[in-house]
Amino acid sequence: MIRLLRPALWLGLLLAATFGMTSLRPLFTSLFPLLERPVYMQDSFAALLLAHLELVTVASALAGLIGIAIGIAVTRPWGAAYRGLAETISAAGQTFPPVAVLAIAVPSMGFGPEPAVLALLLYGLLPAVQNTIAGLIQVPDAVKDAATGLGFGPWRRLWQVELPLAAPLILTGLRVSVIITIGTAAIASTVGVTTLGSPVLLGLSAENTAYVLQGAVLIGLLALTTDAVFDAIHDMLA
Amino acid sequence: MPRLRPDPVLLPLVGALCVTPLGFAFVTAARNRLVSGRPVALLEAAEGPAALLGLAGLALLALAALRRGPWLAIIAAALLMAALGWIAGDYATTLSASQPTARVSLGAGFWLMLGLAALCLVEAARQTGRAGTSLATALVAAILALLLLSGTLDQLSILREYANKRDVLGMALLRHVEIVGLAVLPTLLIGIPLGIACQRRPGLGRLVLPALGVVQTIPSIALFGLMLAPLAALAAWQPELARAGISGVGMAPAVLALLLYSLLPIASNTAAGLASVPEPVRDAARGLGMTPSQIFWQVDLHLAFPALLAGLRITIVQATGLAAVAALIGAGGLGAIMFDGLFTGALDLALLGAIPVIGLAVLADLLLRLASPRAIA
Amino acid sequence: MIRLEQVRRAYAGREAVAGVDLTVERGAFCALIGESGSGKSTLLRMINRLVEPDSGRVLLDGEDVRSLAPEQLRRHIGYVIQSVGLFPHWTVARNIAAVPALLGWERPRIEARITELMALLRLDPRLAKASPASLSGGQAQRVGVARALAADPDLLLMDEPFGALDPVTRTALQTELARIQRETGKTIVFVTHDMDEALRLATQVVVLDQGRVVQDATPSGLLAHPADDRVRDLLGREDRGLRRLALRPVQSVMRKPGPASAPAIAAATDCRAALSRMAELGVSVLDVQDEHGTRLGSLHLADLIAG
Repeated sequence: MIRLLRPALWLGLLLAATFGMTSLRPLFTSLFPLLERPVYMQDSFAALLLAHLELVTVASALAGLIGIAIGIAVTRPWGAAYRGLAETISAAGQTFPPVAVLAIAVPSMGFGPEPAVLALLLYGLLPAVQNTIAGLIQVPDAVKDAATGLGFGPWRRLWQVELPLAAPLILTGLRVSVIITIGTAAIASTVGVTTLGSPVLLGLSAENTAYVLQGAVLIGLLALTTDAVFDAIHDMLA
Repeated sequence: MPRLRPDPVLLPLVGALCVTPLGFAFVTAARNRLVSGRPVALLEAAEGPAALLGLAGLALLALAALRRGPWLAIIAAALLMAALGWIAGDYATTLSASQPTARVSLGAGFWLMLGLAALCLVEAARQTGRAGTSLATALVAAILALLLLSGTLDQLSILREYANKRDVLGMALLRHVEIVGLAVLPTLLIGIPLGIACQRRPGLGRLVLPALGVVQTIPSIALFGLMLAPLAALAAWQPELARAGISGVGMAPAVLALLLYSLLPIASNTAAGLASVPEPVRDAARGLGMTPSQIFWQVDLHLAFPALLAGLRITIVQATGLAAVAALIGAGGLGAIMFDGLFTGALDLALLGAIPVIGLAVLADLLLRLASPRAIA
Repeated sequence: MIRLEQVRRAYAGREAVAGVDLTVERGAFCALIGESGSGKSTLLRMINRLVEPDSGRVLLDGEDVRSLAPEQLRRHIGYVIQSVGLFPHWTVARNIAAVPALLGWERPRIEARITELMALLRLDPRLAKASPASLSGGQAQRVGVARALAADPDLLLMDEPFGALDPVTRTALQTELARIQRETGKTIVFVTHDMDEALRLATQVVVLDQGRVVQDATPSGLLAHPADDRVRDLLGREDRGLRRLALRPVQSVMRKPGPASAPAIAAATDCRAALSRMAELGVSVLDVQDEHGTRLGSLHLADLIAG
């Protein structure tokens, strides 16, 4: 129960901030007396949060599934030929800043959520692939030999022996992937996608610091909540 | 007839190279800079010697893939990459001769084919080892230089943006490096002692490193936003600070946020590097009569150095990308050009900002990897 | 040379060393032996102040070690550990030169010393520039011993120096160490849990159990009169007689050469090996010969057993 406390606490804060932001109008009015509209009203914060979550969930889930599948494939005997390539790409790709990837993806794919999802997905793949490979190859050969010797078939061995042993590292990869995606999704507002980044960007261009603050707090809380959830899952695996 | 030994990696890549032009526009041609363009297929754009070079490159690549010739594959892939640039450049030159305001932008087909050719190059280089990697790097650099210096690509939209923004881009590049430098130098001064302290006092480490981890978790745009309000308030409260350049927007919040982000990799890698010094080595050093400071300078620091350098590499690569986001809060740099392009729909301008950001990050990564001593086996 | 007076040291309430008195004479080869957790390593590490006793004194040539700066003290005592602890970022030569460099020796003197020590430890001179990672376990420990001897200390402390080596390498290094001790006359204090090693090398064997000295004797004294069951266990109850025989060269029990010739055995053989040879050949008399084949005497089964 204790291990669920931290994610629950962050989630509570996130929800309270999402639904209570408008009630904080007096606070923002007193903090920024010069602003005519001290609370972002174009969309409800709940709608922004949902839109953001949808983008992140779709992109991360796809990235995670494809990434783990690639990681598994290239560590099987029949896919070993592709492992070098997969490792090179995922290592080199992480040198590319995610914003720049977004800025490059959009011109060739157009504005809107689809290119954003694709850019987020491609970038999110890298840590998932890298950590799946790392997790699977660090399973000791002796353990794999023993499993085979005991009569495990290749898939049963993968499912019951290799994946459980690789799980902590794979989870770390997914966590990195999701956290990067949350941040990059916020910047996707610059290419016309509605996310929690929208108030920040509008606030910056309209010199409305209150909007910036409101968006920034929610993005930060979303990231911290997600991180805490991954922490809790990690503890449960351990 | 030599025996065929198809390469399981290169062959599918070559296959993908052959079908990509059928599904994706190679370039797009627009009447002017701001309207969206008409897709142009590779077969429509390709003509003359450039098309022949492309065919030759693809054919040689297919041959290399069928007969496992990684060296041939490197050269063929490089030729193909050169041909792709040449074809696009030629098409832009021809079109702009008749319509001066027309813009030719690189399309998804171009980028996909370039990416696939690059993957062939990387895989072939990997198979040949260090010499192949050097050859591939040299070939790519030579081709890029040749295409740019010969003016072949000059009529492409992105280079026309460059021609308009040459000075601005130079300034932005300098500014970008300045932001990263201003953030990373103080980070080293704070982060290394912090890492040492965290390793010496595990209690402190358990407190500080997770806290810095939380900072890393907060997305950059949010952290920049959170810096904005307090710094603006600070500047309003102390006008001298405002005159010294401290304000909610601009360099100050950007540098401060980057510093906070950079502390974790530096401090934790310093601590991890020190922790990796084997206990018997320290025991032997003590037993031989080294003083604590001699052990630190002659043993610990040397053995922790590779980890420290890796931390610096992660930090600089990360800060280069984050500095691009900092343009949103008015810090300037390459991100300003990138976002300018995204906001106004001038997508080649966005590319013009994004490509040097990637270039800087890759360059920093490469240089620091070369600088790091071979791992002690 | 070394005197420990009522030294004690506790870790987390458990006494690792519980009041030990011990004297090691100059030129002695003293083995501290016991099970793991008997306090033998802690005792050793008190001598060069890597561990400070909670109470009691450690005297070196009559001087309390606490009156000396720990680093200065350690630079004049050689120190060798099981995991060797070579500095992985330094070459073999620089590892050997560690203490002379700390003591500020001149460059040529250090160079000469490195060459001398590599010869003493029978290390290939070409290894001088090698990295420790490229050495075999046995080579690494030879370098470890050379490093400990570099500043020519009178005293050498060794904490299970050969424990991590395979049996063949271990025997070779034991032989080297015995030779070096004979040639240089160093005082050596040596921690081990291997009774054969202790009996083979040491002139003084100190058996420890739960932080206390159970017995402090010469190897033959230990075999002849084990203080209690713990010592008997360490000696191996059934092998004790054989181990005693192993300490004795055949020359000490042989008679004048007999008239009839018998199967031959070398003069350097110990009595245990001679007994084994008799059992193998089914004879009760062997001829003892020197390396030129000259008969020095004859060895009778009855004399071996009578001891």
